[in-house]
Amino acid sequence: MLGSLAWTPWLAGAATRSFASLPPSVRLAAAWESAEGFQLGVLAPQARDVLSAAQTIDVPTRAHGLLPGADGTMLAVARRPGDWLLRWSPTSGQPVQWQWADAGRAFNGHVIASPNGQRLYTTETDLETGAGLVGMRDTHSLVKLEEWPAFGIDPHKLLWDEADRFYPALLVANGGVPTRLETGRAKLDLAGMDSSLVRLDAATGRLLGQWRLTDQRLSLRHLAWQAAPAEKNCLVWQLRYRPNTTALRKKA
Amino acid sequence: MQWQATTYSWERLSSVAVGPLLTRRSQRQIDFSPTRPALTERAIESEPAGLQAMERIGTPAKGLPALEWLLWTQPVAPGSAACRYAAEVALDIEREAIALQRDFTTLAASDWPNAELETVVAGMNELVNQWVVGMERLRWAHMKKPLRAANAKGAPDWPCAASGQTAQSWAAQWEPLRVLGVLQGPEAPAQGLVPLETYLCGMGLNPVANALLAATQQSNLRIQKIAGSSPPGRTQVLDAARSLATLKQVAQGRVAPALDIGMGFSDADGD
Repeated sequence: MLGSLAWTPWLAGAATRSFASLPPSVRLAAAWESAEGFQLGVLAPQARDVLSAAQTIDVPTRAHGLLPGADGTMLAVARRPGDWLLRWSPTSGQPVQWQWADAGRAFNGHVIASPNGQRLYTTETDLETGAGLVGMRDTHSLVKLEEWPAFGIDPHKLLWDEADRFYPALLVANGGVPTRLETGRAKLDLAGMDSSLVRLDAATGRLLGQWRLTDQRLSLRHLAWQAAPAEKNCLVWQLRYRPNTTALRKKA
Repeated sequence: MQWQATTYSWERLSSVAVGPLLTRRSQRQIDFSPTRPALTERAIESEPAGLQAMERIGTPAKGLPALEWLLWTQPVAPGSAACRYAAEVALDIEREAIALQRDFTTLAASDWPNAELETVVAGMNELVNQWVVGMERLRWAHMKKPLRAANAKGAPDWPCAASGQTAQSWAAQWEPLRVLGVLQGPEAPAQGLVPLETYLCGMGLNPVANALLAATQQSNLRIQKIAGSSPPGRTQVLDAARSLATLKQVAQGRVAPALDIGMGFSDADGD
């Protein structure tokens, strides 16, 4: 299994119980690699701890982020540095719409929809400069309308900060790992790592805040909200440790 | 013709992009693709002359693909501003090629037998990683993506399509991938280059070497079938791309682990 599992609201339950205990109607969207190459599709529980593919769609390179749409379709994004964004139908099991990365840009693996469903936001990289970007797209056409700096490199997961319900902000995890994009993912000097969490105005891209971890070798990648007592939500994140020597890599 | 000879040499050199090709980002300097005609037209209007003027022109309007556009798609008239710009683009490519030659000469003069172990390991890592990157670039960026993207707009935008050199371009890229992987002929042991197949056999890893040999032979067969066809046939291209995907799986799933090489961009790597 290579990409995100998606298809709320059952996902949380699926993570904590065996598949056999799930209702038979549950379906999970996922991306994987098989002998046939890279695929995504729908998995259904067959027996305890067994999932089988109910639908498969071939994709050209490895998929990463999956996003359920309000219209019943799903979006999948190529893993970084990726060049495709796909809308597909879990009902028919068929691709609906392909969108290629703009010239000089690469997708970084994640997409998120605006709370009203009218816009999509993708993390991207400028292939010329390596700068991180956030692309704002029309949900229906998938065409990019605007792009803003991510105020870092290697931006990855996006998440909404809806503390202000009327004016939600966009959180972006900048992985901060320099890579040579024309080589795939070969990493450059890790001493130059600069991971950060940024908060952007979702209408203009204006920087509202930026935070860094004290350990420069940690790369912020995935973000999620976790409900916590006292009506305060906790922001949780997944990090990758990027040691810069062979000895440290082996230790890690 | 000079453009074809240069492109052939460049593709053989850059297919496994290591050393100065990486540090200088020469692929972007020499082979920015797809070229941007609008930027090229704007660059022609600015009439740049010489190194400093060309440094102000962005890479999307320079390199071999831009020159191909100027020679085949919008053939320049002799003595025109476009013709002068084409000559400047050619000189720009030559400058980068000379710098590459200088850096490769320096690299070749390294005292490898006495090099630090970490340096040697890093070099081997880069070589194997970039070998796999080369396979993937040929499979996806140069073969399968143009086919996929063409569904809505007609003919696939193959590399070197304007000059009719697509099959030659693929063959040129494939050659170093093949030579690095498997033994080519009856070379005596310890003479010439040591391909990964031989290296694996030397480590007693014959099953891995055999898997590499079989997958490479399949790719070679399918890429040879494309040679000579213009434009390339869809079925043949898909067959070749599929065989390259299999070869890539063998390379990163069996060869790299057998050599204890971490794949920095591996498909098994996290996000």
